[in-house]
Order: sequence, then structure tokens, then C-alpha cells
Amino acid sequence: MTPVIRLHELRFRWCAQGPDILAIDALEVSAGERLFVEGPSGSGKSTLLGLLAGVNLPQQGRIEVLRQPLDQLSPAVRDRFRADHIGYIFQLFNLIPYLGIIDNVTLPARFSHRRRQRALARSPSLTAEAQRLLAHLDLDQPGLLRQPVSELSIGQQQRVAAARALLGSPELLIADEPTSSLDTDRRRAFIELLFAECAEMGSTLVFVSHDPSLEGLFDRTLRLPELNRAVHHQSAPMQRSASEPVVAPELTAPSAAATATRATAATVAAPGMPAEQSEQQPPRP
Amino acid sequence: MAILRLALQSLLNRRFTALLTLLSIALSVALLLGVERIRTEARASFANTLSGTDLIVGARSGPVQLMLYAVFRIGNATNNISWQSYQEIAAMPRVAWTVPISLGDSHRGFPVLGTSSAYFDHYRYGRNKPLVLVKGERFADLYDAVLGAEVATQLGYRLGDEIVIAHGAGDVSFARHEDKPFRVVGILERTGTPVDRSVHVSLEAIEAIHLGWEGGAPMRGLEIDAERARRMDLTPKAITAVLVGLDSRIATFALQRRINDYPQEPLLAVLPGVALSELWSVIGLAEHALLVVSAFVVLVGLIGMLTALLIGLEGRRRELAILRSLGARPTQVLGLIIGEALLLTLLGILTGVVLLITLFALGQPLIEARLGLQLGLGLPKLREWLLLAAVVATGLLVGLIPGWRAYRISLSNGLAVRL
Repeated sequence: MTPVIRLHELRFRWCAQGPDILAIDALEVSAGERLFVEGPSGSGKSTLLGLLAGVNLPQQGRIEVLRQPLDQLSPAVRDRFRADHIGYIFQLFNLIPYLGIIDNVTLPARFSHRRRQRALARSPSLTAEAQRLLAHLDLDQPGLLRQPVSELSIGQQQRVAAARALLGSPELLIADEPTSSLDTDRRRAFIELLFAECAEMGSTLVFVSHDPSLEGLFDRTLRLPELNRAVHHQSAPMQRSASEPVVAPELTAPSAAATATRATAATVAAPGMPAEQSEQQPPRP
Repeated sequence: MAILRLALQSLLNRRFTALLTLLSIALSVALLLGVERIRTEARASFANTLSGTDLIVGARSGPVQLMLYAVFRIGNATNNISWQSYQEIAAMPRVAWTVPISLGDSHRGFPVLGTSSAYFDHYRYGRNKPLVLVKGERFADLYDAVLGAEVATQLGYRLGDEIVIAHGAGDVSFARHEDKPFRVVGILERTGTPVDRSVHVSLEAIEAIHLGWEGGAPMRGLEIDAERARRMDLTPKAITAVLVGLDSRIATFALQRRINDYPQEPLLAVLPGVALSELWSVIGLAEHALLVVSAFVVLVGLIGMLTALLIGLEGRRRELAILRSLGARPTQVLGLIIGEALLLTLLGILTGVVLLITLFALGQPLIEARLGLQLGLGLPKLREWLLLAAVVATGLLVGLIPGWRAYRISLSNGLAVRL
């Protein structure tokens, strides 16, 4: 099966003269996979997600999503590609404050004809499809849908955000620490709802978190500090300046990387691993 | 289109600030349009006051001043024309008709105009429209008066009512010709000109009420009662101005020169159209200043919008990131902000136009009574549309500034939200 995501010799830095933020030699994610990307802040998680979503471009290397070479597409085509194929969930404040719940959920259909068509293939109207998704995510209490989004609890907001990301069945779902503001019980429930929907839609899920307790729920775990060689390269000079009173967020990376290395699972695609090898994934459940 | 709907929803969410911004734009647009409309209506109204008259003749002063007091009853004559000179002008070749005008008295603030019945025959306004009596007839008796429409409605006079004329043009006058009251015999149709605000009597009547007033006030022991005055010689000694109509327009300049060079008395003859354009060149400066000031007020309104949008943008970085994650292009983010500016400007203009028309409709009776101006209540005309288009274009340009900022933010920040 062709991978949904394929990274090759990827290098990214924010400005031309700056240090590499992300350096990944190879990464592949296959269709329908539920990938857990774990790493402390500063390990390049958000940058990786920006690259996968086609918002940022690598300076070197290749990035393919759904067999589209994102690094070779024009900005407009990448925006269109994201609208059509990617659902994105932020850590917090996912909703447009001036739109109602239903309008928030149906928002992707305003930017993508394809997702509109796919949503309408499932339900007679966009509103009906939004309600169907919300009901699956346990948001079908009467009266709730008329509330302004600002009056929802954080957990409810994240579920509305999930419904929006799922509308029109995008092939790839990217979640950037969506559970970090939920308590433990709700965290698990939210992830299970997300899994069920992804399975129904046939979507691939890339889930980023710094919370290692969640990784058992996923098919595969990726430890970004191990995969991202930029972090390793930086660690040496950073360590030397660690006595300085001001601690940059990057400074937390090396120590976290060390713990991550200790807990390395068999499923992790180790840095520098050749592409052929990383293709040998464990069979999905 | 989807973006414009989003812009509308975003504005509705911030309805309080949006409403304030909209209101400031609406008020400034109403001011701009109001100035423009009053300007054009005033010009049209001035141009419509007199037609068919080839020359206005008066004592030597300035052309604008002569026209202002003779036709528009604004200001006072500095000097009079002798009856002798009037007779000679009337007898000049090519002169088809003359209308003598004698001003200086008033009735409760309305000017009293002494004239002959030639006034009703030859005075024309608008597009060559003659004066029409809606009630009664022209003055025949010495103490008859014909009222303009506004005088009659505002003071509630009917045919047969008695009125007393006051000496001097002021609203409040201490010297009144109380011994010689006038009877209302006719009321003129509304014209939208100063005629509506005039009380018309005969030249002889003006002469009669001033018998014994040679010193400017009644002299004790010299009072002449109304009946005795009838038997005296009431030929006027002087008049204020003359409206002259000619057989052929070609003769206008020759006659004008002849009157201006009149050896017996310093006289001035002006062409109404020339005097009017001279007036515009004087007033034009003030008009333009007013228009420029109101244009700046519109600019201030739009800068208020700029401030509101720019401040709002700081709190909307998260929203921009969400839109980007949904596949919105940076140009669509630009479009969202410009769309908000456009909606605010358009709604502001709409409110402003409605506001102006409402104000004009409410103020119409008062303005017409005070100034004799008829304000058009219609939709904007071509020049006004051009002004409005300029406002929209400026609004779009102003919206470009926060729009460009949002564009930069969404390009550089991408999905990362740096608060």
C-alpha cells in the first residue's frame, strides 16, 4: 500500500541563516494508520505539522502527502490541497467565535468543493452531516447547538473541532495536542471517539502530544527528538550554555530526548533509518 | 462570496464597534451629500428665480449687490433711481417692457414690494413661468395688497384681511404705517422664489404711506390721513430698481452701455446671468471649502474604521490561523478583512443616504419657509453617485491596510499562533 505521508532527507529552518529546526531523513505513514508523535515542546512538532499541512515548505528534501509532492506545488495549490484533503485540530481555541456550532463544523465546505461533495454524499444537507458528526461525538443534547461557541466547555469545543476536521472525510487528520487541556478521563474518551470516526471515514490520523501516557492507544509511536536530527545537532552547544539563567524552550529538548531514547519502542522509525527499512511496518490491527 | 458572508458574520459578532464605525461613516456621508445637495439646490433655486428679464437697472453699486437686493431681497439698496430716469429708460428704443420695483418697507419681517401691474404681466421665473393668482385679483385700489404664498400660509392671511406695513426692512420695527392699513386682495401661487415671501402693493401706495414721513419718521402736525392721501399727487419720486425686457436680445449690450453711461444720474445695468455667475465665483470658494471639509470628515470616519479593524486584528490571529488550517489562501484572508471594510463602508453609505433623505424630509418645511429652498428628496444624482463611489474606493483603500497586515500575519505565522 502506498504511504499517505513520505518524507525524505527533509531539512527545515525558519530563516535562511538560522539553524535547522527539523532534519528528518525518512518517515513514512501508511493509509489508515493512527500515528502518535511524541516529543517535548521545541522538538519541532508544530513545525512538522505545518510542513505536513503544506503551510511551510522545507528548504531541502522531499515531502509527499497523498502522493502529492508538496515541496513542488505552488502556494495556492497547497492551500487547495489542504482544504480538500486535510482536517486539522488545534491544541486550543479551535472555533471561530462569531460562527455558531453548525457553521463552525460546516466551515471546511466553504473552502473546499470536494469536501462539500463528500459531506453531501453522506447526508442530505451540510447541516444534517454536521449534526450527524456532532451526534457521533456525543454533542446532540437538545439546545446545545444553539449556544454560542464561547459558552461551550473546553471538551465540547474540542469535539466540535474534531467534527469540523472530519467533515467531508479528509484522508489525513492532523491533531496538534488536542487533548492537553482535557482531564485524563475525557482525554481517553475523546481519543476513542476520534479513532471511531477515523475508522469510519478511512482517515489517517497524525496525533501529536507530549503526554506519553496516550501512546498505548495508537498503532505506532514516533519519538520526534530521536527522529529529528536537528535537535541532536543542537544539543551539544546548548548543553554548554545550560548554566545560563535564561532557559530557551529548546533547552528542554535534549533531556527529553534522552528519556525518549530510553523508552524506545520497537515500532519507532529510528533516525537515519533507510527508507526501505522504515516501510516494514507492523501490521495494523 | 463565502468570504464576504464570513466577513458579514464577523461584523455581526462585533456589532457594537461595527455599529459605531458604521454610524460615523453614515454621518460623514450624510454631511458630504447634504453639502453637495444644498449647494446644487441653492444654485438651481437662484438660477430659477428670474427669467425673461434682460437687464436689471439700479443706482450705481456692484452688479452682485444690485441683483441680490433687486431680485433676492438680500441686503439693501445704497441709492435710488429718480422717477425721471425711470421714465427715460422705459422710453428708450428696443425696450419692450419695464417693471419698476420699490423696496424698503416690510410686514412682520416679509419685504414689501411696490410695483406696477406690469410686474404680474412680465415677471417670469423657472422656465419662463408667469405669476399666477390662486385667490383674488391684482391690486386695484390704493390700499390693496397681493401676498406671496409663503406670507399667506405662514401668517394665516385670507382675502379681505387687514395688514399694517412697517417702516424699514427689519423683523421688528418701531415705526409703523398704522394710519393706512392695507387689505389683502390676492394671493399668488407658490413659486419657490423670493416672490413667495413678498407683499406686493402699488408704487402709489408706497408713496401714500410715506406722505408726511419725509424725515424718515412721521412728523407731528403733518399727518395726512388715508382718505386725504388719495386726493394728492402720488407719482413716485424715486424707485429702487427696474427690471427691463427688450424686443431683441441683440440690443442688450448696446442698451446696457447706454444706461451705464447715462449722463443725468449714475446708473448700473446688469445682465442677470452675468451677475449670477459673478456671484458663484464669489460663493464658489466657500462652497468648495465646505465640500473639502466634509470630504475630510468622511476621511476621518474611514480612519475610524481603519483603527477599529487594526485593533480588532490583534485579537484575531487565532482566527486567521484557523482559517489557514481550513485551506483559506492568504488572499482570502486579505479578502475577509477588505470585505469587512467594504461592508462597513457600503452599509455606512446606505445609512447615510437614508439619514439625509429623512433629515431633508423633516426639515423641508422649515428650510423652504426660511430660505425659499426646495430640497430634492430623490435618490442621489450623477455627481452624488460619483462622490459615493469615491467614498467606496477610499474605504477599500483604507481596508487594504489591515487586510495587508492580516495577509502578512497569515503568511508568516501559518498555523502557529503567536499571541
